[in-house]
Amino acid sequence: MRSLLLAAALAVAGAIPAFAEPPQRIVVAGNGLTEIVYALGAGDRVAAVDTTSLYPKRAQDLPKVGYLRALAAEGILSLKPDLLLVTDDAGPPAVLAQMAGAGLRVVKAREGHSAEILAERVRMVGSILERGDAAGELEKGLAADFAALAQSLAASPTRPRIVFVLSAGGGTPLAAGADTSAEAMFKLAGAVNAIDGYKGYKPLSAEALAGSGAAVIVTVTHSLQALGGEAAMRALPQFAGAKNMRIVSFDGDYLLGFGPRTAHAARDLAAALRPNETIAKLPERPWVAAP
Amino acid sequence: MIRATDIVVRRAGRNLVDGVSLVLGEGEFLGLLGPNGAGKSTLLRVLAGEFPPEGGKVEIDGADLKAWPRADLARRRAVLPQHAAVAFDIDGRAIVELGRLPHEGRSTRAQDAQAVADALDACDAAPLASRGYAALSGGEQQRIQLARALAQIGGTPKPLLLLDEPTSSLDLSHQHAVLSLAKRVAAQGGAVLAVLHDLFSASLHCRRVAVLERGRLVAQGTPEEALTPDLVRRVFGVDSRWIDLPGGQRALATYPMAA
Amino acid sequence: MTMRPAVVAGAWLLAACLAALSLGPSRIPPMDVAAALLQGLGLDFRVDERTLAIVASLRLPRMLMAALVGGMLALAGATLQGLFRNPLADPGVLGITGGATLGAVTAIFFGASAMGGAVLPLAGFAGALAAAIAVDRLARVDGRIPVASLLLSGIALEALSRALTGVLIYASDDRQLRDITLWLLGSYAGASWDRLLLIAPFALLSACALPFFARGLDALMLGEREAGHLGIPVETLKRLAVGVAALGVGAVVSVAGPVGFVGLVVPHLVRLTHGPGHRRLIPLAAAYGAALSVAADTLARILVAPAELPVGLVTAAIGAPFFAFLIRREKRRLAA
Repeated sequence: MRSLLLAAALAVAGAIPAFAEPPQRIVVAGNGLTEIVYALGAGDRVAAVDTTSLYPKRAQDLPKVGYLRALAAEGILSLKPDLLLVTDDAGPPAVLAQMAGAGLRVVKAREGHSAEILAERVRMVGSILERGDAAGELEKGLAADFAALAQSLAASPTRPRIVFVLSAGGGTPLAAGADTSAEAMFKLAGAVNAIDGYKGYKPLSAEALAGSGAAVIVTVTHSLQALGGEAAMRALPQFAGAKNMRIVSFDGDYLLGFGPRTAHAARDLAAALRPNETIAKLPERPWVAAP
Repeated sequence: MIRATDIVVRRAGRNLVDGVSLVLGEGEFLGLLGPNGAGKSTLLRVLAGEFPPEGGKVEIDGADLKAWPRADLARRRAVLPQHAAVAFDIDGRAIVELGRLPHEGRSTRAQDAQAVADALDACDAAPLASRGYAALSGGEQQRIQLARALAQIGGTPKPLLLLDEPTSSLDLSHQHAVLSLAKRVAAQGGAVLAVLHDLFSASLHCRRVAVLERGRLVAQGTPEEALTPDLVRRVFGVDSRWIDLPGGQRALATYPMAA
Repeated sequence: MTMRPAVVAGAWLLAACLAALSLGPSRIPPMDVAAALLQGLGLDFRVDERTLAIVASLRLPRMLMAALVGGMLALAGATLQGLFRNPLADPGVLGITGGATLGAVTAIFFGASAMGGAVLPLAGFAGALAAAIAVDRLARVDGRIPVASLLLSGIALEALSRALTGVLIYASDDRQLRDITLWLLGSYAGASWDRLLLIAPFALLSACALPFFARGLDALMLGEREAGHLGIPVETLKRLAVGVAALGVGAVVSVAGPVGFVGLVVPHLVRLTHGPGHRRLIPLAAAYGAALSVAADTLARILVAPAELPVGLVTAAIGAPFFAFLIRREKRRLAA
């Protein structure tokens, strides 16, 4: 019963902002959302972020409310926020219910990895924060950038097969399958995920990697550092059959964040995958340059 | 008081106890004798009601043991098992006090304390009461356990005491003290059955003895009736001779068989 | 039992509870906490809505949950240690924790995190009950449950649950993996009045079974046969004690995750300080288990505020060194 009520409350909150004042103290959980809030010029209203919100750098100086999926009710309430903005997968659900029960406005953004959902999130955040103009500008810019990227990729003859590898804290490398933000980025960058047949991340096996026919291994800087650099990574048994594959690395939240910088990240990925071609640079945007 | 009729205990196709019938009356102290593996402890466990025998029945005061309410039985008879390992670090007095468990709600605190004190005194165990059980020697542990059994039947009219090798770890003076104590319990209207190995002390202290051999009862009666030189030679594989002790008592001395 | 140890234990528990209610990431003056509690009872003290919500809807149910879970785990630990006549037994040895974990992890794997509500606890509880029934069947020999066979069955089942949990962990995506890891560390973050109602009956049931258990477990210190000679229905005792422990542990683990340390060490500590008699041990273990759990959760809530630590990390961090200290002291006493 209580969860039903909560769902109803959330639906109402998400659809019709029923509050007179725009929120002044926001707690954001989910790196893409944090980036959007900052891109819309509302960074000074952010009171705290979760541990996945690493960009912009300024956000890292704020109090941390913990991991996206392990939020703490009283911790967040103690910051006296007037809005908790989270992605759909934030949790635990019981804690979100507690905070809503304590009178905190909780707004959930739809989870997903596509240009459409990104645009939808930008609109939603813009409307809640009453930053409609900035949101419109961001949405338009993103649409133009995605379109420009698609155009240059249409002209490219190559569709590189790639494998995305992640290692949490130097542990066993995991490879991205279907339904991951990595795979969504591959699509935007005109590339093909050479690993299919499962969803999410699974431990990488030497045989699967060798048999994938991938030309490039994409990873994030954090994982590469945790494994001890490119040479150390190649020395792992899982990479035995990957002698001829190139390794390309990107900043994790840039590549996988699905925020305002995603069009540029996709373009940079597309270019890195095609060293012999020229992929047109996207115009400089204020939300990409932000420190 | 306790009557066992045609008791049979079968394990792995073998009869550990094979048609044994025994009667133990008020005021009696019976020694259950026999070589290793004769079935003495098994018979004692059946008499204690630990498990039902494959054949025969046990009665106390004419009522089938199975029909006795657990708690009534626990107030009436106490059992001293052969080896008693105690869990956790617990002192001697606490163990003896556990003997009063069946009397909870029926006896006063003072009665319980009296029973515990009497039992400790009777077993010469009072000085051991405040020491940790684990730190006691084997014989000291045995005296504490015996005190626990005595505490359990303290104040009970016509108590029944079943002792499985009560003297196995005791020094000589305590061996005689414990058997004299058993005699005293019997003399005060109780009944005591003790599994014993030492024919000398059994013949000296028990009013009656029963001899088991491979699960069968082969002799029963007063020590002088039952423990004939022939029987002792056949069952125990030793030669024996009754000797006179000061005070007019007689006891059976054993020695290796002549070749 | 004499009153003094009970009063001391009660005082510790009360202190832990008062601290849990007055301390937290939000600074709320003690007077306001008291006012909010009274207002929660229906008196009007003009406490603002947020303070009321934090004290009456967050801190209070969470404190009660921490107390119930900690008390229940320590109680089950004391009971099982007595039953197995082994100070190293804990609720894990019956396979119940493993079963609850498997149930909860299965639920997480199939998306229970998103469903919220009671799905996760119910799945955990179902897992715990299934494990308890399986252990009972496995351990039964000729209608009796020998303790050694019970212990081995529990260990086998715990291993099996762990293996199956491992399979699920392997098959999980990274997000489920984080959820599972967090769940395995234990947390009272999901405390609510609903969930409290879910576990309260089991705590009550255990409390009612206490006098019976204490007597029987005391006798069991002498051994199973000896307990039988003292008139204790040993088989019934085993079945009931295991059943109550299974229900209680299953219920609390399913709402809080396997909060470590409390069930193993609290009974042990109480035995070291107050002796092994169960009449004293069981209630004191319950009180100290509750107090430790409540205190640990208070620390978990404030140490890294506005974020939180999993309470299992804190119970281990407080308890383990304390335990080591007590064992050292005890060793010296034994040597002397």
